[in-house]
Amino acid sequence: MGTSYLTIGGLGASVGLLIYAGLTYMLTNYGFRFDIGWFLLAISPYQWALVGIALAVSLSVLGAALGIFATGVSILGGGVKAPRIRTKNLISIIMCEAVAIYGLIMGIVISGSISSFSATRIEDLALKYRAGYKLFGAGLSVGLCNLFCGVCVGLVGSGAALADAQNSSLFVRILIIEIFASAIGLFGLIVSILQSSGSNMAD
Amino acid sequence: MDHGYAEGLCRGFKSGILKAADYHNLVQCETLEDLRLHLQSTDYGNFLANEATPLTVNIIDDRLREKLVQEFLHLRNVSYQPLSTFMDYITYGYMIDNIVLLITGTLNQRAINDLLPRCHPLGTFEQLGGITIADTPAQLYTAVLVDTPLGPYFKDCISEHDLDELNVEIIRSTLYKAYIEDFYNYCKEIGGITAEVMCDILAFEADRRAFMITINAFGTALTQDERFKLYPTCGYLNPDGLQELRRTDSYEGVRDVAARYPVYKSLFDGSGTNLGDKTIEDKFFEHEVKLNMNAFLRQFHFGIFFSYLKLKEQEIRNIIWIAECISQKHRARNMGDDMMSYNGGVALAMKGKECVAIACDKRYGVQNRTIATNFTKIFQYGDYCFVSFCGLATDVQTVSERLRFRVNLYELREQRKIKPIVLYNMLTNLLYERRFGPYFVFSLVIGLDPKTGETFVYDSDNIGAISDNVNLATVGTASDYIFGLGELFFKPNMNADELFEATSQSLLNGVDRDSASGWGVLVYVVERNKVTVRELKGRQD
Repeated sequence: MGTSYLTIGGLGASVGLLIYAGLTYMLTNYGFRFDIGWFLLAISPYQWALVGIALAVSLSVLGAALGIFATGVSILGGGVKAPRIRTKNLISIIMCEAVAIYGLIMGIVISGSISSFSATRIEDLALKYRAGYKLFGAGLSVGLCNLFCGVCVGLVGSGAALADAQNSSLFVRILIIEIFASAIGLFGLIVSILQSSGSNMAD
Repeated sequence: MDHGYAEGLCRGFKSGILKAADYHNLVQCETLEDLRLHLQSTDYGNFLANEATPLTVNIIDDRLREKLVQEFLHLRNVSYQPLSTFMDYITYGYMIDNIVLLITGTLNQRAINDLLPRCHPLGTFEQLGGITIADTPAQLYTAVLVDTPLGPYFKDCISEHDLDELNVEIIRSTLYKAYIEDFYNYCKEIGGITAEVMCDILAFEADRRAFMITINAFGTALTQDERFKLYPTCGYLNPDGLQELRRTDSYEGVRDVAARYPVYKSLFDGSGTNLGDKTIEDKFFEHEVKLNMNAFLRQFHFGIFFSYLKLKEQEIRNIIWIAECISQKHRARNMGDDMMSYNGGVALAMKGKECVAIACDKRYGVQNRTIATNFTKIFQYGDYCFVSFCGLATDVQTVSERLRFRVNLYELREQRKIKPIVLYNMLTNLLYERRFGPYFVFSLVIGLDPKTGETFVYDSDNIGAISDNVNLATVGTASDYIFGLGELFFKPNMNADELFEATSQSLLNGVDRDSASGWGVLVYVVERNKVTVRELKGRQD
């Protein structure tokens, strides 16, 4: 809640440090050391692909977890005074869970494309780097899509549970909204499959 | 989003709030027992199940409030920061009320043990019992309140004045002003939907306070500047409206100030001071309820906890209003529901030294409608024997006539006037003949023996129960009141004048407490050589 002196101090110190470092490099003619191209080439394609897998799984699970948290507490709270909603609203939890499963699937698919290579020529290496970048992009896209999809399904599911507690005819209508919400996670899955399909690191 | 459980629970509680159909049922109730039955089928359930009959409105009020406090404390227990701080803020309002209650109680010399149970349970804090030791606000602050959450609110009201009645109210208003502004700033800090919903509600509350302080201050010793210091500044009226309110000195002026704000204009327009109009307080309540209900339309904010508490309080006020109406109607119908109080009337007999007096009122009515004011209930059966009958008027006439028949036969046979004790036995026999279908009259018999000066006063119930020769006897609807006064005024061995004074004063003042008796008094004072009759005019109502 409110900005404290510690946060302001920390932020100010780090910004100051960055500016100092940047100015030092620039003014002492070592600016060339700040080389983005070298940075990208120095990271091996394995690193990119595996970080892609990590992002795919972890961000999807994060989205699903936030969604289940939002829906679950509302079902519990509403279920105290209206016990009939408990079983029906588990559908919302299942839809959040599906989001995590998309991430799992993509993780498996991406990891299937990773294998060792021993290319040395620059044209072959370029293809390997391309594969790495593609797998990273696939993982990132499915991860972020599922993150937002999971949170969205969770919030809508929470609203569905509370509305159901008041008036049971509302549940089916709000479920339709939830279906649209979970469709966006599917989009992320589709795009990431397309991205990772052509990429193979094998020789 | 973090507080989904508490929110779900709160919405569940809110769905149990009574609806129009429930109120329709409650309004149809005839007794408080019916009310309890109908409340059982709502969310309240069996909360009154353990109460012994008869139910009173106070018991219902206590149980309702207890249930609400339980629910609120449960919500508070399952919540965590920042919701728990928010709910603590809600309780500060009740703490202020408790502090003021204790201070006024101490000023009126009430014991601390009487006052503590009357405090609102949501507003208790550890140092509450220590309030009574302070004399001035400064002492109150430094000794007791500096550690409580209300400490910062006291800065404005520490002054050199001692605590007395008017200042206590000013302290309450100052504390409340500081509290509501602090709460408003806290909600703004939380931001988001909570800020939108709560700031709207709190701004209305602040403006309502300002209006009510102004309206209630007309005609009191509160000056305009003192009034201005009590207005909370977090409402929509700040700053121009508050300046205008400071300068007004009539209800019309307040109306004009309100006319500049469309919401308040519509509230003031819908109210009036005539009978049958809604007062401005009613309109404010309605608007507050509307705002609180709108808070439930949005999700993921803290406003619903505040609104739930306020809506439940309004519901408790409604139920208690209905319960009061039921119990008033019930009590009013008691007059004349039973035969003995259908027509009303009262009589008193008192003994003195060689004199007796008997007195009665003159009202004849049908339940609460007075029909005649010359219906005296004393009948003479002999030179020194008088009987008074009180109860159902038709039976008064019937029994007096039947007794007259028997007394006439006695006098014809015996060729002498009847003695008091014989008359009494004759009367009680007459009444006991109708043991299982009795006359609805209670009787008084008085008499004097002119040779010996011995005095007799007897009374009887409607089936002829015999009493001893007593000093004082009363019958009728106001008999309890008159008996008390009679005992007060009675002295042994009074002479005729003192006896007359005692009798007439008891009767005249006792009938003031009873709506079924009155409209003047007839007093007979019987002495050895004469009988004096006096008619007295009392309150003609």
